[in-house]
Amino acid sequence: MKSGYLTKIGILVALCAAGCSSSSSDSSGTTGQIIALKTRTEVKDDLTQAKTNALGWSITISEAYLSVGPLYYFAGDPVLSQRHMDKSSLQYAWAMVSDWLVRPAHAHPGHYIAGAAMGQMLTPTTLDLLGGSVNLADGDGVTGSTNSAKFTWQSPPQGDLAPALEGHVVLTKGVATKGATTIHFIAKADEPEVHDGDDKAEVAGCAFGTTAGASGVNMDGNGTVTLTLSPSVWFDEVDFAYVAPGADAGAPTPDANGVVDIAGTLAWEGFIRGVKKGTGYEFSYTK
Amino acid sequence: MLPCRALTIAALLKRAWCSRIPLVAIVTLWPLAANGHELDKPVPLEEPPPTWPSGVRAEHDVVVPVILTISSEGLVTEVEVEVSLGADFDEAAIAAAKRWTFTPARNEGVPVSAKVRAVVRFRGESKGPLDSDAPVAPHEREQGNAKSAATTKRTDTTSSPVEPVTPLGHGEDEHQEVRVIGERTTPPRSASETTRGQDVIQAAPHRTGGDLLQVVPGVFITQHSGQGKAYQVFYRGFDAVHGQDLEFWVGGAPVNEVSNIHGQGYADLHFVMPEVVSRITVLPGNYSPEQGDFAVAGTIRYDLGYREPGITAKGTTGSFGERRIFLAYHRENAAPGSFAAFEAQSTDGFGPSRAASRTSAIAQQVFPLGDGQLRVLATGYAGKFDSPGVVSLRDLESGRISRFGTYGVDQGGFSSRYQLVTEYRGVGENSDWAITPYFAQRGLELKQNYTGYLLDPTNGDTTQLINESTTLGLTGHFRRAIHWLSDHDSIEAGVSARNDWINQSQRNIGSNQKVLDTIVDAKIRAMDAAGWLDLAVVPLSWVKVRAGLRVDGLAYNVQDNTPATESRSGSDPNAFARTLRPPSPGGQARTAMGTHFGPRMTIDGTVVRGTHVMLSYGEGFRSPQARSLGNGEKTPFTTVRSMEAGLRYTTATLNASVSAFRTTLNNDLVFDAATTRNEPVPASERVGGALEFVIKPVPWFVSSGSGTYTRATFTQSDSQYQAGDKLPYVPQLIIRQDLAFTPTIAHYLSRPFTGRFGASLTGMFDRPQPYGQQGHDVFLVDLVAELRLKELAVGLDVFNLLDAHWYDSEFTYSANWNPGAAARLVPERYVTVGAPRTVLGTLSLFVD
Repeated sequence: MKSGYLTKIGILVALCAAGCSSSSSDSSGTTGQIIALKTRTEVKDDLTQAKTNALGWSITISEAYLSVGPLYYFAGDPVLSQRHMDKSSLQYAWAMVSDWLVRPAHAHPGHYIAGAAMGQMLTPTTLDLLGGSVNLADGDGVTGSTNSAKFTWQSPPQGDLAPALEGHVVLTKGVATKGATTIHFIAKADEPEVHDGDDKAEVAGCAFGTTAGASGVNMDGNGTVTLTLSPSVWFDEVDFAYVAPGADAGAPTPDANGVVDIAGTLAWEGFIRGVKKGTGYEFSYTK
Repeated sequence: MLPCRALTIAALLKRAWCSRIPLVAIVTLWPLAANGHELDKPVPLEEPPPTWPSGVRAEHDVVVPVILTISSEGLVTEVEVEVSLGADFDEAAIAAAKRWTFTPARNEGVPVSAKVRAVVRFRGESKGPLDSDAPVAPHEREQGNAKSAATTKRTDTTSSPVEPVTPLGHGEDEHQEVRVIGERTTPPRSASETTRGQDVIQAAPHRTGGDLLQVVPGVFITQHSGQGKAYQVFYRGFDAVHGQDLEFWVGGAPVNEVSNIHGQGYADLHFVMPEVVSRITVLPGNYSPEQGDFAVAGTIRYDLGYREPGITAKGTTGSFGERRIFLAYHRENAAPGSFAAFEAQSTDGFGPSRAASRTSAIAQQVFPLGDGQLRVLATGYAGKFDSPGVVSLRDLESGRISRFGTYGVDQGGFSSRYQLVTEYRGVGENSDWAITPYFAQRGLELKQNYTGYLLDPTNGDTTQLINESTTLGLTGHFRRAIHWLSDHDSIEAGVSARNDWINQSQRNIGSNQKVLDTIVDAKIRAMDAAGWLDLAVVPLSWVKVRAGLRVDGLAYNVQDNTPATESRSGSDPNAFARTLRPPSPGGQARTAMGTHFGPRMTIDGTVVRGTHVMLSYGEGFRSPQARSLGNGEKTPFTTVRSMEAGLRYTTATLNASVSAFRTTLNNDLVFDAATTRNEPVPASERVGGALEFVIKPVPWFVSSGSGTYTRATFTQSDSQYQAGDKLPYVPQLIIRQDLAFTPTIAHYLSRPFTGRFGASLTGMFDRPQPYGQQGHDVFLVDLVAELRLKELAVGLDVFNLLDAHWYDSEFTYSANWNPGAAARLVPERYVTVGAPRTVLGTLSLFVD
């Protein structure tokens, strides 16, 4: 029948047309892929070892719990970043020259542009930072260049260890020593106290790269995102002198065990600033 | 051959008027035959006689007046029954006429296509056996009223069975009159240009004028936001959205809305009842200079007409509370183009938030006037609809939401259209012309929420869109014969102009309908003035070349009353939200203007009789959203280049074409996951092939089918898309098959007992989604069955017979439908669920 003959011709023409496409690509799909991202956490510091902060206090952490909310990864550059580049590469050389000619302007919080969302982990949990690496819930994402991330606190805390936080989003205990002064302290933060400029309990513009602290990675397949936490950053600006015995009339009184709750003090304010620092939360991707 | 004198239109009109025969139209042969020179009418070569319908008894002869379209090859390509004498005789007459062959009409010796009136005579029972089943010469047709023309007393002096059927002549001798028929019969500009007549249109069930688009080869439609919102149309590798890339005309007026707030070119076809669409013409690509704004992928035109004589009253009820009343009137002797129709419809919908209702009225009248004819069309329409919105595919597949469940957000809309179209067509001695002024007023209100609580976790992201537009415009053309390379040449000049006054706004609203934020508040005046020249020459007897140039000038004035971004501080919860709400200067007036030149060309080579090889090339454009333009900006056009090569085959029983095509765009638009709207993307191309056919071997059977494969890919890269990758959302393979059986089953009470049994198969395959995802294929079967005893008919329409679980639309983007949970920012799959099996019963009453 004629229509059958025409059908065959039509199929041939269609195949020919498809084959004659000017496109030289062998791609059989659309741009990008949806990928699975496992998520794990690491703690950068050995909390059992004393570490001296910028103000000379040697701090040892004995307890540290952190409420973790959803984590997001973005295409936009981080607030402060150091792009990962091979120092022997032409790209690196050019970057050095161009940075020398035209000083780069770093955005500050509030002007951070997240750009397209590239990945996420949405299941909140509570971490014991002295417990070593932890695998969080699986996340997902899309392939492509990823440069920054957002850390959020979950309130109220969730997960098996949530009771340890006693409703706070961060809780640490430890000992700070400077000279002859030793202070057993407890430092904690509630959800409103860690809000950023947009009134959200989050740290936006964290670095996301191939290694902790680096920025810029092409997520090109299923992989693992590692959140590296640096509690030492939290204490970097804490001056325990404000809570030392006899510091001033407003200094908190130690409890029966001799532990000082630094809440509401200038030391605590330094702690809150540290907790909200992006450098305390670094993300990296490995395939 | 019978030479005839130049057409005297005035005499013709006078005769028609005095004889009270509706003059369907005035001359039109292409190129115009009546140019002052000798015109040779088509002369019959073969004329197999009609077959007397079985079971029908009559003592008198029965004469069925018909209008034949005779190609330049002398084939009858179309038969229209002017005055129906019932399905039996109509079908038999059409079947007979389609088998007739002619020498073609000739203009100074050059074959031309023509439309002529003729009659098919069935001999009454008292006729001697030797004279039975003979067609009669058209000069036998009485020029009185249609009834007397239709049923004439048999006499023994009628023409012999072998007397040729000739077109009605003109001039002084009634028997030599060429009765000219109406509309322009311009030859196709590409191999795949096609029409679908009422026999195909009515083969399968249709509920709206919009879903008639399903019969268009290469089209797949979806309706993702309720029964009342314009369909989303996919065509030849284009996501034409609601009309962005397809030019729609109904009854001579444009339907696309300039810079509609919901989408450029928004084209709502709900104001048309499916019963009154007499023909759908499809012009793929942009090969004709008549094609203008929005003709990126092509042009689709609806002609309106209604043939059922007398009063038609239909009542429909069925699944999900569907109720519909359809009333129509068509004066028995009037041209099919003269009618009035009304419908009122409502449904509870197949799930929550799917109720809809609409009401519509259309009236059209054709008048002889002066040297031509005047057509007046008026329509009024209003529709209201709820929308369930999208649901997450993950939620559906996990069972967290039922098949027809929703997220419970109030969505829907209201749509209205009122328009008046007048068209005057005239002819001169060697020319023809037309002018069509039109006026349309449109209203659209939408409440929609695609992102849930992503942007505003407290109030949600529902937006209210309002678009009010008033359109005033006209089209016109003048064409005359010239003698350049042959006597068959012609030249045409055309104009098109429209001015749109648009008020539009987009506002965020809370669950209590309180306006939270104004995103867009603008007044727009948009002007598109176009002119074209089109030359048709015949350098060789078997080669026709048509070449034209169209120039469009587009101008926009935007008064942007949107509050400045700063005044909306606090409404943007984060940086991600700010990307969705671009800054507004507030209160700014902007103007922009630009011009586009679009060459068009077609080479048409006749291989053998009825078979043509055609090569086509055209350049068109995609116009911008007015409010996206900066002050003083030269209106940026997306340049669209289309080319097609194909084979076209036309006989009395089979029309078919097979073609390969390629379309390139120097930049494109794709739905963006981050902003949930179409955003600019790199250059792209569509390459594919298409096969389509309409076969009608016998009067009681018609089959229309098509298969279109298109590969749509990027040809350039940017930071988001790579050259060679597929364009997301665009289906690659679309198939469609319509079948209809319309037999006369028996006769009862001296009335024909007829049936109409039809089916359609729709397939859509390989729908790529962003990020390498693959959408779901769709395969749907619809059925229609109707039994009719002249004045009474009972029908059953079944949609989605197999109750396929299918997804009407699929998207991939970010949303958050659980305000208490962590927002999902990574794109995921969202769908709108397609309708389940739906059964409708219809009782129809026909009163002559």
